[in-house]
Amino acid sequence: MAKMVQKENRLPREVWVAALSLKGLWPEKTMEKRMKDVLKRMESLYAFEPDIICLPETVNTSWVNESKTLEEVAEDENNPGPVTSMLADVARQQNCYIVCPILTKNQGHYYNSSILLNRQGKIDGVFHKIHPTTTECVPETYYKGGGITPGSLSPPVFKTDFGTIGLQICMDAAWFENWHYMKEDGAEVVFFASQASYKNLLSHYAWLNHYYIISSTGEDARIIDMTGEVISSDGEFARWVCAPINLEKAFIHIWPQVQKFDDIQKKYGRKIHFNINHLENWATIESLHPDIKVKEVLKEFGLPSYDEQIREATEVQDKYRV
Amino acid sequence: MNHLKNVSRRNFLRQSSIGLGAGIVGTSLPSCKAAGLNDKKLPGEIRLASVDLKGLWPDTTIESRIKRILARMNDIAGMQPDILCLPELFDTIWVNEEKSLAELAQDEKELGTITGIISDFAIKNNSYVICPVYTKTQGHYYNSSLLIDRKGNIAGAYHKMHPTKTEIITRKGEGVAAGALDQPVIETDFGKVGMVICYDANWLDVWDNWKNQGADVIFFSSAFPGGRILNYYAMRNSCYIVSSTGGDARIIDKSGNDLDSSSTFVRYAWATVNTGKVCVGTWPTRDRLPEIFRKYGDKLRIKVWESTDVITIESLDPGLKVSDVLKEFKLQTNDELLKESEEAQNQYRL
Repeated sequence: MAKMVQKENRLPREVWVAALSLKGLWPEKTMEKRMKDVLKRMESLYAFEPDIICLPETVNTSWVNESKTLEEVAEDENNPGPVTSMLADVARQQNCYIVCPILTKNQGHYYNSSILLNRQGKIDGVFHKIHPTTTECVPETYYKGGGITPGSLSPPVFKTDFGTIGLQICMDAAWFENWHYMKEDGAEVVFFASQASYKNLLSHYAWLNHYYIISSTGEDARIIDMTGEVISSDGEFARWVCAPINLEKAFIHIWPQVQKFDDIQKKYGRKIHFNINHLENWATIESLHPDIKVKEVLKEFGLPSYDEQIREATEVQDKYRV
Repeated sequence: MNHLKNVSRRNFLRQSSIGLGAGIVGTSLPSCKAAGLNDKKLPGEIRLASVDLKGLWPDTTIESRIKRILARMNDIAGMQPDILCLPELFDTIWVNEEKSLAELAQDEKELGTITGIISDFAIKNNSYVICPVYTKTQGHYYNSSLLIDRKGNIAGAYHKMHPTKTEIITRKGEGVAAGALDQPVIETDFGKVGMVICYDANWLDVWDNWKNQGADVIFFSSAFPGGRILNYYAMRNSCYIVSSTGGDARIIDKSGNDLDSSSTFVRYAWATVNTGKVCVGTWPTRDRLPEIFRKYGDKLRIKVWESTDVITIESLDPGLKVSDVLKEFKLQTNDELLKESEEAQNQYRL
């Protein structure tokens, strides 16, 4: 277990992210017992002073045998219901954001949602699952008393005090486009609440989009680096993850940039860290010093970001394409 | 190529084979005929093979490179591959001999010095070969992958869609052109193939072009290995990927997992795969597996790939079609499931 981390000792763009696995907490008989167990599991995270905690899809109802209608379970997006309020209290007490995935209702429609609670326990935004399963959509199939309305194909991103984040839910993982749109809109971290783990696929979305992904599912919880490497995952002895991620980090193509890595290292020493993915020919460059911005280092040594390099190469190729 | 002028293609191959013969004495490669491999082929079955370039670079001359890679190709020829993949610009990459593009580029219709050697290998082994070389056609040079068929003819060409800037604009002023973005798949006697070369891997459009045309196998010839980039696109496209690179050679399953890869002491990879294999979701397949096992036993090969959340099903019985099994047990392929889900979502989306 890590020691409690003082916020003043962190790097400027260091974010402590946390996620819970639901493994071992299902099946469950009642929603009340489920939330009691979830709150208990969350307690292990508080010593780390997380900036944000991600919970699994429909945290209060997934694999709970209690028979309720959608109308009874869904919480108003504008008037916090029991689960939202319960987690809002935690957010306030722990001074952290919480990704709170529950069924919601808004203007006569039901959604499978993730509510983003801010550090004051207020609702900062709501994401609606874009791609519910067929059985979720068709009324009276999976849910009693209605069906889930799919969310907009263009998912919102949310500004927090530590960066821009995106949210996704379960089967959304099967559609590449959502993940790409969030990247285009500046997402730096995406929180994935789900029943299924989607294991390697999430790692692929991380490197494809150059953002961190934090997953909280019925099977596991993981923190995935922008290279697709798993930074932390839950297991038998801890069904949660909590670790720092550094948003002062850039994703670059290795060639020909690698030829300048030595010079950069010589100048900045331990203040700059490279992580090279040899097989894929990528690298990340990260600042470990509060006064050094990665963007400025890249500029100083004439290194393009991965996206800049691909954009420039595409322009040249198009010019010389037959 | 002056150094090759005095050596005919066939003599060159013969000389190479003599060298190779010494190399394989004492190994236990079976005689192809004794193994009787061809008699046992299932419908849709393909034997894939690939060699890597590791340990063969840098090299001093093209002649040396060709000899050494032919030796490596012959090492795996006993597997009787239906197709063998070679690395990007296998004849010239990291070879110190200086030649102009005009001297190096092979014709795309008529066999040249290098393509002729590979053609001989293809005929001798009744195998297709992915032969990545510089080519010239209609006044333009390309970084290409030529497909040589079992009869040794050039069956098609793929032009690298996304060459690097330094390949296009060279110091000597003669660069390659970028290939068209809508190049067609090439039909073979075992299925549709697509090709991807090195830097291409960084662009989605290359992979989607092959997915949209239903490629059964994509051949990735490259200087860099590609790593998990290839695993993702195999899964996304639900097709096999065969890589042949400067660092490794791999056969990647439709499920996105490696089936085989070259290793420190064996610098080639091979696998027998089946184009009829399908990917289905863990749910609800998992619930129906016991009944499927009871009915079909070892007539099916079923594998759960937890890391990619996929179950693959392939038939081992010529009389049994996987599509019929899916229908019987009310299972959908992943593609069918996504299509059906999307229809429902669009119906209920505001």
